[in-house]
Formats: sequence, C-alpha cells, structure tokens
Amino acid sequence: MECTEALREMYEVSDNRLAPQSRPEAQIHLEECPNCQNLLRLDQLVKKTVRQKTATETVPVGLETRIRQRIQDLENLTWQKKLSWLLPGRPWGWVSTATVMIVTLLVIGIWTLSSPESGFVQWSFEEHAEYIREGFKLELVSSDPAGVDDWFKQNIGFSADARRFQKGEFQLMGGKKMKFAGMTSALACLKKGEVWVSFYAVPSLETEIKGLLEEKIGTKNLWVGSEGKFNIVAWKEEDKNLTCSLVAELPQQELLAFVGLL
Amino acid sequence: MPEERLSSKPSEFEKAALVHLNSVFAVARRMTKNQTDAEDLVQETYLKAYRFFHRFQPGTNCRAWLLRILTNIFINKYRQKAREPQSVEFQQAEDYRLNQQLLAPNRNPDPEESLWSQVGKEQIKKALETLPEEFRLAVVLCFVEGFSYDEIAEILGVRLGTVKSRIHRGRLLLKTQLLNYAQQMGLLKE
Repeated sequence: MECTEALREMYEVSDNRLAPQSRPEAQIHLEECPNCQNLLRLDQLVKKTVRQKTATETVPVGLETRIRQRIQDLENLTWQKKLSWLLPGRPWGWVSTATVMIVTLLVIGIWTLSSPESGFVQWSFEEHAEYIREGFKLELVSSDPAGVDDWFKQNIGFSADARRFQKGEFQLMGGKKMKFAGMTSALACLKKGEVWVSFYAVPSLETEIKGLLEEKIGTKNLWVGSEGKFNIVAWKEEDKNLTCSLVAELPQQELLAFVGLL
Repeated sequence: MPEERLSSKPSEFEKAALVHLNSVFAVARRMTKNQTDAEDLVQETYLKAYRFFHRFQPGTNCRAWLLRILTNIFINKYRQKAREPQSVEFQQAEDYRLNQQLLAPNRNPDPEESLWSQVGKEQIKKALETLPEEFRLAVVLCFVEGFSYDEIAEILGVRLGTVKSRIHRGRLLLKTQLLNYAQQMGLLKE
C-alpha cells in the first residue's frame, strides 16, 4: 500500500474516531512506515490546534437575553394569534363567532334532547336504582296497609292509599319520606317474589312526565318507558292530586296490569 | 401537546438547546466571517428551532439538530451565491509535497508542538476563512465540532461521498494556508 493511500484512510479513521483496526491494511502500513506515522501525528496536531484555537468564541453580551426575549415574544404572539381568529372584526371573525355560537346552541339542544327523562321520571329511576344498590333503608317497615297509611298521613301529609297495593302477588314492605323538587313525597315499597318495586307519589298534578310513551288503558292515561333493566309506569291521580310512578325490574306488562288494578 | 407545553416549553427548550449557545455561535462565526451576521444567524437559528421544537426528538443530539437548522438558514440566506460544489479528487502529489514541507524543519519528536503553539488564534481563524465555503463548513464540523462524516452528511444534507471529498480538499487547503503563515512568520524555512 502506498503512503498517501494509507494516510488518506488513516485520516478518515482519526476524523471519525474509529478504531485503527477498522482499516487493517492502512494500519499495517502505518506501523512499518515512520514517515506516515509522523504525518498522521502531524495531522492530528493540526486538527488539535485548530480545535483549541477556534472552538470557543466569546458570545456577544446580550445575545442570549435577546434570544430569550424573542422566544417570549413568540410565545405571547402565538397565543394571541391562536385566539385572535375567534374575534369579530377579523376576516372570518364573524363567521367563527357565529359558528361557535351555533355549535354551542346545538350542543345544548342535543344535550337537552338526549336526556328527556329529566325531572320526575329520571328521579324515579335514580332513586330506585340507588335503593336497589344500597339496599332498601325504609323508615317504616310494615306490611300492614292501614299502618302504612297512618304513617304517611302523619309524616308526609297525604295518603298514598296503601290498601290498594295488596293485590295479586304484590306485597307491601314499608315506606319512606322523600323529597322531589322541594315537595315532601312518598315512597311505598313493594315486593313481588324477590323483586323490589318502588311506588313514588308527588303531591302535585303539575309535575311533568317527560320522555315516556303515552298509553291509554281503559279510561286511564298511562306513560311507559324504561332505563336499563328497569321499567317504569307513570300516571296522574287527579282525585288525590298526585303524580305517581311505579319502577321495577319487571316486564312492562306486569307493571301495567298492576297499575290498571289500582 | 402545545397547550400543556405553554409553560414548560421555554424551560425545556432552555435545557436542551440554549445550553449549546457557545458552540452554535462559534460555528456561526466560522461560517459568516463576521460578527453581526453570526449574531443574526444564531438568533434566527434559535427562533426557528423554537418554532419547530416539537420535531426535535428528545434524547437525540440537540447540537447536531441546531447546527442543521443553522446550516440551512446559512445556505439559503447568507451565502452570496449558491455554487454547486465540485467533487475534488484527493490530490496525492500535492498532499505529499505539503506534508513534507510541514515536516521539514526537523524530525525530532514533537517539534511541531512548539511550532503550532506559536500560531495565533486569529491566524488559524483567518486560515479557515480563506477556505471556500463548502469546504469550510465540512472542516469546521469535523475538526472543530468533532462530528463524524455521517453526522456531517446529515447536517449539511449531502451524501457521504461529498463529505469525504470536501474534508479531504478542505484539509489540504487548510494545511496550505497554515504552511504559508508559518513560512511568513519565519517558523518554517522555505
């Protein structure tokens, strides 16, 4: 191998900080050639000198501060820019403002529509689900309709007419004082076999029944619906000034039949 | 991601990028040959780096990334005329002559050490400045910044073969310059 060729390869080895063995032929030549050894050493010396004498430069005073300031400006500007298109007065500003408003209204609308069972119906479902989950904590445990009626009259202020619940396979279990929309309301608890059934009564005919389907059974107007595994039947009792619901994990037909008998 | 980085981005950038300011400025200074251009170049580099900081992969070499940005800006903006760098064959004869001259004074162990220590910083900087731009960039990144040929190819956006030929040629030109200075100063006998 020629000196220059070997040197050229060894320059590359030294530039890349490779192991000399990566170019075995050049390495062998180098070991035998003192001239090349000198030249490689010279090259390394030149490189070292250049590095030592030029690697550091005094950074001008204030350059770093200027860069930081510009970055800060950029950061502020970025956020102004990001938000500015939303403002009326910019091109697209009115369009974007209108869009934002329409989207907001749509979201509110969809949200309202998607939760139609708010109010009495939703409350009935939630209370029932909670009682099933937590276990029925009744204030009055009694299967005696007369006793339950008296308790309702004394504690809630109106009669739920509990006598009528003792029909078919339904068994009266007790009662509890509830609150709905600020009104003292009644929960009468029934059982059919092992299935718990809740009867809710709110002392107001104004209470809205929303999100359910209306059905007519005999002369009675009933509303039916379901949420999850629970079915609901709701109705109004004008003579007693009550809005009522019955919730249970029972087939809709069974609930309807039961209410029809009341 | 930008939302959550509103407060942390500047400090992350500081830790990763601003710590290299010295080195970045030194390279900029070698490239532009004058102080004002170097400052502008560095400032522009850092702003661009900040804007594109999301593209930087943490854990990779941030200095190389910054220098790639710097090189791009420099090539696009500061260099007077875009020249297609000619591929230069390694000039063996010239290299040989040059090396012999540099070695000439005496062949005792490490005579050059004392010789080279006498060459001043400014002379070496000037010697670098006389190199044509594409050679100067490659040589600075290799000799001064210690990047490998692969890394230099990436930073300059050229092929590995181009890097090799530029460094060979640059090495030769630089040595020629240094030899001239040494001779002018009487450190070497002609």
